[in-house]
Amino acid sequence: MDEEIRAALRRGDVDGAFLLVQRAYGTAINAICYRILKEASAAEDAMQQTLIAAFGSRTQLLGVDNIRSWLMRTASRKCIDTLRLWQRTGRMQHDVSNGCDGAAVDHGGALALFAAEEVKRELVVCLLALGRDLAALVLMRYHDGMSWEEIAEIVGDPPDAIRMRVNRGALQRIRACLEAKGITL
Amino acid sequence: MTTQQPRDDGDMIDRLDAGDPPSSPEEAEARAPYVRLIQLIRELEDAAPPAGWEKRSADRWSAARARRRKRSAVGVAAGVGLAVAILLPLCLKRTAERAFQVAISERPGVRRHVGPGDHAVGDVLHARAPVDQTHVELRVYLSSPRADRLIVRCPGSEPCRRAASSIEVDWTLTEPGVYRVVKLSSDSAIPPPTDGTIDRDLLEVRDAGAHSEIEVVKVVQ
Repeated sequence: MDEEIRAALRRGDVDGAFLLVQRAYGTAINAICYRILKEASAAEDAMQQTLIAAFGSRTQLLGVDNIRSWLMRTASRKCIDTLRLWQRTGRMQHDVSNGCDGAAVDHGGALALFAAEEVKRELVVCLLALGRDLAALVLMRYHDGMSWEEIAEIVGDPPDAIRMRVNRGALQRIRACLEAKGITL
Repeated sequence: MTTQQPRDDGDMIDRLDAGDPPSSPEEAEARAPYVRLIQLIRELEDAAPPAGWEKRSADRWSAARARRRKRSAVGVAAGVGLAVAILLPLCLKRTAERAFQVAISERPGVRRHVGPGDHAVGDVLHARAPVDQTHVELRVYLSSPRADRLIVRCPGSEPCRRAASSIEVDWTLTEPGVYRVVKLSSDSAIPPPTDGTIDRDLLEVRDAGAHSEIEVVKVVQ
């Protein structure tokens, strides 16, 4: 996909390249923003800003090795900026869910996840059982591939503290949750 | 060589997360469930944004593009305007440098009883002819009640100056009459003056294929 995007850019088809990037990465960008901002409209706004910023100049993406990683980093930066703006202006995040509930079980919407298979649906349930904040940390690290330092910047805690919460707490609880449901990893 | 053994699951997950290889078959076996768990987490699909997101995103992109194009157009127009503002004087200057120029400077303290466009005895004529062909001459003819004659020929006369790209002369207008300042140019040799009258000289010059430009200066007592 990245090569298709670059080919479109090389032939000057910026609109075509934009649509390719949107189709390939729009959903992932939106999800990472949703997990950070916890608001659908703010996440979509940040996703749109990220996509447009990617085409700030026609040649910008041509110099990027891994477009997905670059977009994810850009998106998380934008979301951090949004969070800081909210903190400065005293605006609170509207956290729609912080636990395991029926709606979340159905579609993982509270974590911007979609799980079609049975095992993955149960995994989403176990993630939500951690509480939304801790689940978001697990996903940022192991789903979105963010570094501990990047996550620390979002959360505002030291990287080692976050790593311990995830590696020495959350993953073991998820495993136990799945095993309690009869799913052996 | 010693290998570090993980103390518990947390330590083992840290080592897995850091990319360290398992230190023993037992650790590899203990890691396996977490390897599969992390793989499952990685494979979870992201939920799409609310319906219609692609159109909303594309619309915003189109609007941003339109704004950028508008800004670019304004920028280009401003750039062109700036370029014109900078280059036009330079072009005019270059054009001026290429032109055959005749000017008169008035001598201070001289009582002037001259009509519009006329000049007084004692004023100084400044002529400049660009060297734009192989052969260029600057001549000044005076037509007066007493005689028609060639009074300056450049190059060749004493007050002539030769600059890098022009021939110039300053000549004090010492008697009344009509001064004709002539620039002659040609890629072949220009015929020399004949008997000193402008009409005959110009006929010779034109017959030789040279180009002539004339400026007229009227000087009164």
